[in-house]
Amino acid sequence: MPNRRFGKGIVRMTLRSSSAIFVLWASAAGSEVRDERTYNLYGVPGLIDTPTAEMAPDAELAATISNFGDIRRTSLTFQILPRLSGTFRYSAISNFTNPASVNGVYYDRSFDLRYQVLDEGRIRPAVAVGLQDFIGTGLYGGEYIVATKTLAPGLKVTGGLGWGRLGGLNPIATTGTRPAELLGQGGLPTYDRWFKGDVAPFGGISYAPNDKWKFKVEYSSDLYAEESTSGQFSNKSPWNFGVDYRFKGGSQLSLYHAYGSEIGAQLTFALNPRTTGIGGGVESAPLPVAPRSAGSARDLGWTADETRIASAKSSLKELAAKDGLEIEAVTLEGTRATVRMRNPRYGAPSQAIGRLARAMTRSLPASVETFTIVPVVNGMAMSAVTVNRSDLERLEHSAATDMYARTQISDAFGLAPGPDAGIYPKFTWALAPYVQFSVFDPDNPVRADVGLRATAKYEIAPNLILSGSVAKKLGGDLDSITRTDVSNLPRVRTDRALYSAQGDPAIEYLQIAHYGRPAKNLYSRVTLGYLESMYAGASTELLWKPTSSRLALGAELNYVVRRDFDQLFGVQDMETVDPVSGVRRTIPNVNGHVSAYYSFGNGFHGQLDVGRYLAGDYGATISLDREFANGWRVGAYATVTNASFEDFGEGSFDKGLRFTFPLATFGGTPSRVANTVNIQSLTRDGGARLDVNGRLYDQVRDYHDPDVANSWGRFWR
Amino acid sequence: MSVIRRNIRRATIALSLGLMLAACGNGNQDSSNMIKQLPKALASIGKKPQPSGIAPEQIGKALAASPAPMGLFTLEARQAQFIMFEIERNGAHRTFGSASRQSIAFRGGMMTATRGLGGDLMSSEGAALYALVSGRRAGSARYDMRFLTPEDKTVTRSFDCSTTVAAEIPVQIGEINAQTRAVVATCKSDGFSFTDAYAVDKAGRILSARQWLGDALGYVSVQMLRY
Repeated sequence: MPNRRFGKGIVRMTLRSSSAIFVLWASAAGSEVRDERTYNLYGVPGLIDTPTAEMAPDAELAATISNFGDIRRTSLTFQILPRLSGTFRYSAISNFTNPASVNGVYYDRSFDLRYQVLDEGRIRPAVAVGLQDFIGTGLYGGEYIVATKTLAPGLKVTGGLGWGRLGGLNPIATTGTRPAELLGQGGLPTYDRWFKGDVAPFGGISYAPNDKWKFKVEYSSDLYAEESTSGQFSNKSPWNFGVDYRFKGGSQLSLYHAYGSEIGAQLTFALNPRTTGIGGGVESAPLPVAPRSAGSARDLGWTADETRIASAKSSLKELAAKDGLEIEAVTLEGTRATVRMRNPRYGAPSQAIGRLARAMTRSLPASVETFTIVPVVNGMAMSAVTVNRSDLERLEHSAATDMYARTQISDAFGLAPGPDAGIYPKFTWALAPYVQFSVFDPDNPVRADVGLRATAKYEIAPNLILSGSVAKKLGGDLDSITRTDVSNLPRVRTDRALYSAQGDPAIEYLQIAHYGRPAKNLYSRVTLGYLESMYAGASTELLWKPTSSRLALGAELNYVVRRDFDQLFGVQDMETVDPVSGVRRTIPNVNGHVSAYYSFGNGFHGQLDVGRYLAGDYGATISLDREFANGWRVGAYATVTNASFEDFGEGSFDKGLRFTFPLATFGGTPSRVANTVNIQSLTRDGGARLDVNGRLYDQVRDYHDPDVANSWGRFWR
Repeated sequence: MSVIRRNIRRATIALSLGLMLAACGNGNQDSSNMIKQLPKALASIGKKPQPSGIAPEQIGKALAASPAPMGLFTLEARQAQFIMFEIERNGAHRTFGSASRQSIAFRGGMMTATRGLGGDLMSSEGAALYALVSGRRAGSARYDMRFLTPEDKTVTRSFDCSTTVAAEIPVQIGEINAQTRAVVATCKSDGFSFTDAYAVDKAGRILSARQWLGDALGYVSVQMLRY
């Protein structure tokens, strides 16, 4: 699947209150829009600056930008499960005196988690427990237990107990001492602090007279002590007031009067991979299935007629081409046909297969009863999907699941006919502008480069591909990154600024890749050349994945040499000199991993990679993604290696978030293009992997049973 | 950063975003075509759809142009009218299509699925309901409708429908000239209900229908011009 990245977040990390449950009258828990959550200044469902026990609809992704006084917060909240939500936040506090402040602005990143222990019932309030800013420096660190109850349609009351940040004002109790030192080098969960220290109550009332407006009043237990002493914040009152205007779909605009001293404003954009877009899209209708007349299937006379065979094949190719599918070969026998297909258009493989099956009923002679469709990617046969023509005729207007029950998906090793003459070799090229972002550097929180990128691909054979990409910067400030940080590992990634500054124009990659099917259930890749912006060499990979298996196993072995900083044709030696400490370290030539991939069903997917990383450290990466049938993905990963927290440096270990959003949701018509945004915690040298393209799993899994079945509803589309 | 540098950066970003509309290449153009559609799509957000009607002369022309069965369709929510003609028959179903590559599938004269209209009805189980309507009988039947969600999952909405036979209506349009009875089907499910209306002639042919085809499409009516 072509995978164009719009931006890779290169992030730098800065250093740097229950049972006030109100027992209520019974009231029907409203399911109206006005009873739904709104977001607060922290970017989580809440009142104004405190949380509530409300949850957003499952899978909602909300981005909030809020500002009050000197404090600006940008948050991204994802409803991971109906009862669990996670938040990533980047805050900037101006006029804040701190060694880590840059030009007086203190930058801070935080992660939150909230779990709804009880959902709201007729008498029972919703109860949730949350961890605020639980990884890292903990400026906003706090924990809470909170309960929210709907008293009448539109009227909600919230009360809770907070610790840490939320336990500052008028505490009513203490649960132990709350430690203040940083664990490791920062970047670790602050488990030694959770639910320790002073406990203070907070709460508030919200009233929504209709679907659009909501009024809120809140008592906040947050002292804003640090902001008052090191910054210019003045906390005059714990009472906050606010009004929300809610748009359809969950987005909102809010205005607040906070802490008796500041006016605040907030904008939240919400979308939901499960509900955003038009169900099914607006693409044009497929061809109807052409049923055969009774008895016509007995006629096998056409098998001797070369013209008849040729015209059936060309008619099939034409019909499929109108639907955006490329037919590379057709094998016609008396009662079966095998088609080798390339799918550049449909994100859902079932839709490609369904449209091709329809075209086959309209073009192939009546005696052909068994259709075998072999989707091919990079010359590898992905799977063999077999359907019976009689079933297509019988089930055209039935539920898609009826057709799935009659479809066989099996391994295609040796089943794909070779491509027709004249298709290969094939040359394709593209020229397009790009924008590349670098975020979270406190010197300049958002940097961007814009430029032109030229890519070309020469497919010598379907599975032997020579490809390259050259980027020329047109403008931007990525090269103004001046920070140099010390590293206790070979500088495998921390020289990024040098590559960025000197690589203009840059050969992003220039490689020859061979893909293969060595045996049943096995897929292979060998890539040679300039593999990525910093490394050249050889990358080999082997993947084992049976078509109906949820589990796949892979192994990758790489031999790398370090490229010159100008990202042209030169390579340099493997010894790096640290600009701060002067220590010389050698990057090893060999690295690699064994990987296990598992599709849990219910939308979750996990991956475990164990091996040796670029800097020579050994360890493992664990990733967990929530995946949707329409191609949306939200996930997180963490890597722990034998590089100690001290050697890794700030952040202690590599972690990040990633989001994939398919173009098809926004365009409404099918597309295989999906953009992936990685927000990597920071570019340190531990846990770094070679960024080679063409890795096998994402290509292969698409046409295998668990993924094909997921979006099978599009078969008849 | 100086104001000038910031403005140059803004201009470059704006320029490159504009250039994205001009991305070129010789490979698959689907996504670049989609990006080129964006300005038009963004401009039309919030704009009411242009109502399009079919004039009687167009009906005459369409009937003369093709001997196939055809119908005049109206999408009430979008105030759109179009003519479709039969392009395929498969067992009890027939598919009507139009030049703009949209299609509607029928069982007799009852619509069972749509494609290319946006928020399409993917398929339905209406055989029992069809038997009642076409037989001009009162009774009750189960009726399932299947749709795709934006998540590409299929949802099935099941309704309990009851039919009643109402007045006699003459239908005279295109090549249709017949006496029909109105059959009304009221379908309920979980506090939501809709009402479909059919005009059925003595032979059991449904010559006009007004059916609810889902939240996105709303009520769609079809008037057969040639059965």
